[in-house]
Formats: sequence, structure tokens, C-alpha cells
Amino acid sequence: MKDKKITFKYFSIAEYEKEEAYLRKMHQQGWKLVKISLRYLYVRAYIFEKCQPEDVIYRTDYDQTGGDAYIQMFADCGWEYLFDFDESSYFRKKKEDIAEDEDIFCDDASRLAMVRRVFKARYIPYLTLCVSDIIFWIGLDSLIYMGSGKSGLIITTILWITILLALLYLGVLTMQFYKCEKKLAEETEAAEGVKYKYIGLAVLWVALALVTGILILYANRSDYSVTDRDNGFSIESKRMNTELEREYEAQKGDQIAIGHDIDDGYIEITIEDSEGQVLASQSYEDWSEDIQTIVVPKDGRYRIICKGRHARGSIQVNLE
Amino acid sequence: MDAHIKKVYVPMTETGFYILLCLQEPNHGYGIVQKVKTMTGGDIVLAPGTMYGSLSKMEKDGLISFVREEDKRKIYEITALGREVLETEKKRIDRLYRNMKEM
Repeated sequence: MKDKKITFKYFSIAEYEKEEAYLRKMHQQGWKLVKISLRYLYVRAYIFEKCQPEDVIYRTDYDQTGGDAYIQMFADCGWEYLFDFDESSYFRKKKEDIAEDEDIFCDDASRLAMVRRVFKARYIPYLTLCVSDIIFWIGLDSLIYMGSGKSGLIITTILWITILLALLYLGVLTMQFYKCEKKLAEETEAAEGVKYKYIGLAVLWVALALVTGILILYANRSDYSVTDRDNGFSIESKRMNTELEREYEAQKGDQIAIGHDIDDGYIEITIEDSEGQVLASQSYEDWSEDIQTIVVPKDGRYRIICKGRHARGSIQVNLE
Repeated sequence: MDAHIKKVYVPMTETGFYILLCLQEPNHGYGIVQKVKTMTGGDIVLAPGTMYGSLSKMEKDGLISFVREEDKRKIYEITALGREVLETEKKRIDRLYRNMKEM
């Protein structure tokens, strides 16, 4: 087992050069690549076998596999075929056998073509996923919040954070592809096209970020009405994402009755006395008690704080 | 020659030119690499990734055709369209050369 080694590494789909450099370094340390396993998301497990330390160059080609003839052509040129992983073909050749300027591509045009194959097969679907996730999940959440109580809120918050992280990663990926394409298209007629393509993508990214921000703000809006009475208040809400306070004089033995009919989200009611001590605190979701009564322990002024989170429904507080 | 072919192959990359030149006789990828290496005195050594991509593309565009497979190597040959494209490129290079000599 000491003859085998497993490492976990992350390379984005645009970082093929980094991966090639890593494999070369490992071989120089006496570990040759044997296999790759898919792990979680973009983190892969690289499996190495002990070997003579040697300077060996690793190269990957994306989605050009043409079976035996393809492998044979590379073999004829001295490149050992390892395997295919995730639509990339892995090759290696001893550095000493490689002439100056020799590579698996002999012009930037074919190198650029490879990067574009990766772009088409990996970036575009990821972009589409981000756009549809934003529109569907966050759009839906801003219009019809369907979370139940506190647990629903945790789930939606996690969802937002995930989508924001995905958007951030999209930005990073776009930058990486831009650097790749720009370098390969430099001083050719493809250069102009590359510039416009990435300006377009940058604009799209900014638009997505703005839309996401606006939708999140919209999801956190409040649309409710309060009716105040002498001895209490009621709230009718379509969506409540704010806090309000009311103060009342009460005597020992009085009862504070809280009735609620909440459909989505929750409303948290906290009752404090004049010294700021919390008398009671309860959140009302869509399946708890209908009416709750709290007994006032002593005379004084009491403050009732009502905090809503995506709350839809009604709540009544009455002093009796 | 239709507009698409013209756009892609006129003018041609050096790699493409040498591939078509060599395929005036049936040959496979590595055979072309060796021939070009000899022809250019070692200056141009075509690479497998580029070669495979170019051959696939040219076959798809109808400039070359698949002849047969021998020992896991695919052998191609230039087509009539390929000859037409090659002729256009030869004329262009000729003109370049003549003008170069004059100035």
C-alpha cells in the first residue's frame, strides 16, 4: 500500500494547465498517475503509484477522443495514453524525448479550439443553471414564500447563500476562461471576437448579480396593516419582514391573549416589562396553538414587540 | 467552393496547407507528420492534437475523404474540393512570393 498514494485536488474546468503542472511535479517526486476518481463537485481523487522520479510532461485533450486511431496517432508521436476521465484524455511523455516547442498542439488555433470545446460543454451549462436557479428559486421566493416557520426560513437562507456562491464562482470561472482565450487569441484575428465575447459575459454577470440583489430585497419586503385598539392591536399581513412595538399599562392578574392564524413564515412576540426583563417570548407558525394567554405578574408598563419573518396571516393581541 | 469553405480555408493555416499538400497521396496522420518534418528539414513538426482535429474537420468539410484503416491508423486522401482549395492557396502563396521578389 505504500506503493500507492491518493491526493485530493481541486482544479476548475479552465485550469487544465495547472493540473498538468501538478501531475508533472508528482512524477518528478516519484509518483506516476494511475487513475482519477470523481469525488465531490470539482474535487477529484488522484491515484498515484510509486515510480522512478523522472521529468515527465502530462497533457490533456478535451473531447476529441476518436477511439483507436486517435490513441495511435498520439502513440506514433511518442505520447503515452493513460485514460479518459470526464471527457478529457490524459497523455504523458518524457521531457527528454520532447523537442523544443513540442506539445500535443502545434498551433494556438487548435489550442484555442480545445479551450472552446471545454467552454461549450462545461461553462455554458453552468451559466444556464445559474440563471435558471436565480429566476426559479429566488424569483419564486420573492413572490410566494412557502416556507413553514423557522425551519423554512433556514432552508431559504441556505438556498440564497448557495445561489450567491454559485454566482460568485461563475464570475471566477469567467475570468479564468477569459485569461485562457485572450492569451491564445493574442495577435490573431480571433482577438477582437474574444474581447467582445467576454465583455458580453461580464455584462450578463453584472445583470445577474443585480437581478439577484433586487429579488432578495423584494423577498424581504413588508406588506401588512396594523389596527390599534385601546387594549390591543391586530396585524393583517401579506408579508411581514419587520418589527413593531406597542406599550400598554397593565395590572396584576390581567391577561394578554394572543390569537393567531399564520399561513407562511412566522411572527415572534416578545413581552417585556418596564425594566426590560422578558416575560414571555413565543413564535407563531402555521401549526401551533390558536390562542395563548399570558398572565401579568405585577402592575406596570409592558412592551409588546412583534417581529415578523416572511409572515403571512393575522395575529391579535388583546389585554384583558 | 461555397462561402463557408472559403471563410474557413482561405487563407489557410500552415498546418492545414501541409496536410492537404501531403494528402495528394493517401496517408495517415503520423505519415503526414513525418513527411512534413522531412520536407521542412525538421522546422515544422505537427502535433497529434492539432493533426487529429484538423483531419476531422477537413473530412467533415469534404476536403479529404477516408480511404481505409490500417493497423489502427486511418488513411485519408484529398478530394476534388480539397484540390480546388489547395489550388487557390497555391496561387495565393505564388502571388505573395512573386511580389516579395519584386520589392
